[in-house]
Amino acid sequence: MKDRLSALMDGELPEEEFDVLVPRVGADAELRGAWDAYHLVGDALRGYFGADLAAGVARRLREEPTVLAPRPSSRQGAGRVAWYAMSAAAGLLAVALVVWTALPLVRPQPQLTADAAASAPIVPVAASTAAPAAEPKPRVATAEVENYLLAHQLYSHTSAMQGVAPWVRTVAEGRDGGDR
Amino acid sequence: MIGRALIGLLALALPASIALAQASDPAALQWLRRIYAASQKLSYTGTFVYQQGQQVETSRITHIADPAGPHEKLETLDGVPREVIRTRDAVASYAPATQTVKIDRYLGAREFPGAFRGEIGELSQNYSVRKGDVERVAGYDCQVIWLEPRDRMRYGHRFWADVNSGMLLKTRTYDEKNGVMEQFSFSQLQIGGNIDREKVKPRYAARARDWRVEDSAAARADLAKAGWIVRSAPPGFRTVNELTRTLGGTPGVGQIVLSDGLAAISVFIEPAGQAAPEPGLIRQGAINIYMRQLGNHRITVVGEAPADSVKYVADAVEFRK
Repeated sequence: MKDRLSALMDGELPEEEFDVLVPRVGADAELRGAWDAYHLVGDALRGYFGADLAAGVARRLREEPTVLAPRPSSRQGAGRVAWYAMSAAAGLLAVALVVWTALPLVRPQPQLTADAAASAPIVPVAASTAAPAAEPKPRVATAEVENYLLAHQLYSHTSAMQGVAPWVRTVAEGRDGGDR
Repeated sequence: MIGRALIGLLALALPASIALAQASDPAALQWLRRIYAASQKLSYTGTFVYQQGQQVETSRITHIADPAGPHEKLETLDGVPREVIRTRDAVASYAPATQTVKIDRYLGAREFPGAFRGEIGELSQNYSVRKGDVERVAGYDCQVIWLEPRDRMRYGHRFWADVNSGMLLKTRTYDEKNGVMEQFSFSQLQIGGNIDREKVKPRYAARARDWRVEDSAAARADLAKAGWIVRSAPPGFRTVNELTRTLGGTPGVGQIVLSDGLAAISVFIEPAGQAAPEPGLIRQGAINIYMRQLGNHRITVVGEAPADSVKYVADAVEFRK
């Protein structure tokens, strides 16, 4: 039954089974507990818990019933990783505890980018300030960003001293470098 | 122990790079004038490295000074081939991969060569300019010039200028925590001598005849009259240009340019497409780009300035009619 539950979590459960399983999860306290635990562990592994861990856990528990739906297939990757990591361990709660204690308590947001930059080998110019993690990043095509950079560069006074050099910003590969 | 840790934390929190009341050194300001003059009168060719974060790009730059106006070419040596050609009147960017030429024309020939001359006074109100040591760059002895911001609305800079010619060989931009955001540096350079004019000609000129041409068609405009204003600029910044232009195929995009004597911030105002973007920030090296929606327009602010300054400007854009 638990493997059906995991398939449900990953959005891989056939539709006919879905209709049978969902009411059962709703009625069966044990199944519901497993469902909650799966999500908690999955969330913890994905680093969703921030500084206010206890409140976050409580809130997540309250919110669980609202996510009783197959996940869109685009999110399956993360879900599956979480589940495999979890099923390899003996006890769910033990895993959850390990994950929780392993998480740094004071961490504003999962910041893989900043961490990666900090642990990188010797790079002459360090990525010192990534954009604030809380700041949303608009979905804009690279070509569009380039248009703005080109249009701006002409009026930037630094180009009066540096000549054409600053235009390299507009032709540089690996855009978004500051955030990766 | 705890006391020491606290002091350490305080030191971190203090903006080490902000020069509050320090007057600029007149000799250092003279160096800036010299750098500017050198950028106009010298011919050079060399290899140039651009770094931001973990990104490193190598390009070749050639500049030929000419009484009729400069001829300059930048070509990338890494990754996708690109070329930028700058003359007195325009900048053309050639992208062979997409077979596109983007042309941005200067509003007037006056604009470009005179741009910096009158602004050193303004610059020194916003930055404390001081001389540093003499250090070597690409084999040349260079005078180091520090430009420290007087507040948090702008970044700090460090320039390395060739002691003999005044040419700028290296620049670094620093954030408020004194971290390096971006670096431009020549790794190999020939100043003066015989430089082949072919080196500043676009390699793709012949083939580019069939390419798509995106011309900015920039024209001076009174955007305030049309109702668009920047209610208040960040301290030290003022509006220096207002124009309309074509941007990414959209004609009639408004552009307002603000400057603090060194850094510039552009405001772009255009009709919002069907899917309005979520407001947010993009960073590219020392450039911050902030987008937001205002009525049925998209406001995009682009500047080599801290995120706070760019957002400040974006939030100050208003339509009054």
